[in-house]
Amino acid sequence: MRAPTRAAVAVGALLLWGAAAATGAQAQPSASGGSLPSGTNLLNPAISAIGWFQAQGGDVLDQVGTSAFALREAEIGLQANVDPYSRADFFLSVSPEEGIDLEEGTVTFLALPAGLTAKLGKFRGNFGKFNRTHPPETPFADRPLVAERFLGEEGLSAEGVSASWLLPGLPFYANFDAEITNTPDLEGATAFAPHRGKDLLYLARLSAYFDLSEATNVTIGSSYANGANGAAADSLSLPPDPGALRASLIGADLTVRWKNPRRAIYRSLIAQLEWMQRRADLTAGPEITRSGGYAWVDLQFARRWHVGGRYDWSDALDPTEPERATGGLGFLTFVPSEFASLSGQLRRQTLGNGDTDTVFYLKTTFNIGPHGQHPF
Amino acid sequence: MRDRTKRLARAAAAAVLALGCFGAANAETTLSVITTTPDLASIAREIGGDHITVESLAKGYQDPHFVDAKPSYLLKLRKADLFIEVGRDLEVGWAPGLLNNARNARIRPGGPGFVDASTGVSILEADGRVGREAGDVHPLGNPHYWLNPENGLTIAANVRDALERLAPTDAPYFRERYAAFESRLKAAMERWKKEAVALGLTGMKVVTYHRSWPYFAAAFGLDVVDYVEPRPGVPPAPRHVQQLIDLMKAQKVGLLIVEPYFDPKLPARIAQSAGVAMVVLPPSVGASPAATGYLDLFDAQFAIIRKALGGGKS
Repeated sequence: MRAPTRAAVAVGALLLWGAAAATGAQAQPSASGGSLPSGTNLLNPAISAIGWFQAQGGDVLDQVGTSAFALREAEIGLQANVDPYSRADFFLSVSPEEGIDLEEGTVTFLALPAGLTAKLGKFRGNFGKFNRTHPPETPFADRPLVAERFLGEEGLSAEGVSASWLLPGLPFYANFDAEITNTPDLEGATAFAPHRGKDLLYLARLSAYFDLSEATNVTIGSSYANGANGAAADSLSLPPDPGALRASLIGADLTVRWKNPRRAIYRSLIAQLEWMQRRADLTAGPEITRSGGYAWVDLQFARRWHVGGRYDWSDALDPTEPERATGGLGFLTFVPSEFASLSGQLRRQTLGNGDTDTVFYLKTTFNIGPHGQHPF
Repeated sequence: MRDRTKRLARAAAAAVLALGCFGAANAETTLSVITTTPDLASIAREIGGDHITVESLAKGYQDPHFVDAKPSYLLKLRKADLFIEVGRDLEVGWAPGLLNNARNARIRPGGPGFVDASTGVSILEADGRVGREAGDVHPLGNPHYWLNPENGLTIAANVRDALERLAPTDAPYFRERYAAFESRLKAAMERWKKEAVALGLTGMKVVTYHRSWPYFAAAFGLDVVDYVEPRPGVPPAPRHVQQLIDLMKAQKVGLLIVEPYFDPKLPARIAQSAGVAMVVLPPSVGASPAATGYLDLFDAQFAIIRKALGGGKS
């Protein structure tokens, strides 16, 4: 598994920019566009903020360093078009643990030919479904076991380039994504471990969408990522061998949505299943394979109310850790408006050694700023 | 013999050339038009005729604020020559993401194929004082402007201009169809205004569920005194419901207007308690079987109101 040089990536990025400008040059300003008066402030990016406050109780508070109340995260978004060919999106995450962190910062080229878009910057890897969602926007107060164990607290996110291709000539929507990024430092026992600068992470995703009826649709996806798994240390010689071990991650996901368009604000259902498997080279011994997944359902049973649950299962990545852990989470969520939610949640996990862990959460999120895209 | 063959060949070549030129001169441009709502699609069809294909993403019975941004819409948008939106943030929850992902720079805002149909419309409730404490408000004013038929003409002019820009050779065709539409709409408007007076609708105090009807009210002289939603997007609490019933009785409200995508149970209870007729009015083309086109939409609305009011005052 050889990695291309950074120079090749940089050349690719420049070509994308050039292609975007060349193709997008056809897009001329029109008489109908931009009816707002000009003004300095009107060119400011759209600024939004999401707050995520959480109370928790149960076994988790037995641990040192945990607290009953936490402002888990404030996410600040800055979004605007850069020019006729591209737009920029910045999301700053502010939390007591991490301080201020650039969660995502990208420029996306929207005027490329042949059904392509591309982006450069730091972004969440397009692996599966959960990893793409910003933490305050998930329905859960925690992370699914497999997401936490395989992808870490912050998820798969790194600097690099990404291309997205809407496959032509098909009677249904299908999209292929390819990304090359640095191997992210995921903190703790997670799927990839950075070694040298040239040990890049490669990611690909193929997804398809089908309308089964006016109310029901299905999205399926498969993902693959391959990155460094730390230094290839040789126990007989120090320092470690300069080569890097590799690890790969494959994933599959299925999402079913139902919503009656004639009563869109009152009832809806989302059911999702995501599974992933990791294979990793080890310094000594054969490669190891670990897998896990989760399934959840969210039923909106009234205009302001949702009820749902999630089932988790996941191996531990560390071969010395106990085997598979399982767990479940239930939630009841009140949504007073489009811009806030309050959710009571109960989670119970059974760890590989038989220990159980019960935690309850009260998660509240609130956002201010311009009206954003409705989740889909 | 050879001369005759040559003459025949020349004549055939000339005929082919002439046919080709004639064909080129009469080539009809078929533009692909995608609109966010069926009202815009209907007006686009009026202007574009058979020189365009047109499709709406949302159906008339859907709440246009809450349309899912389905990936299948991207397939339609990718090939579109023209995209027409209501604008004023009506589609803010779903259209911008679709345009960003459609891989079609022509129809992005600022592109030659993007039309904000609200351009030139006199927008209500755009006084600049907005905040979420007032509910899910639209900072750029109330976007339900197509419900005043006179604004339909402005929409049609915007569509005509965009089509002319994309297909200049077809401009006379679009202008001719615009003129015909204008003539029919103005005649219908006179008829509707007369009917509004005859029904006692003009000057009538009404309550509506959502703030969808201020343009309709302005067109036909209705007086909207309150709403079932205390604030846009906020469901009513019991206290508001009781206050609303009291107000409807005190002010002698004549009609409660509800959009078809809201649950009618609560407004029906309110109307019954207040002793007021309730109508579920189609706010868009396709929201009821009779609302098959933009002009038919208003005919359908008046038919429902006429039935609810028992034929009017006279």
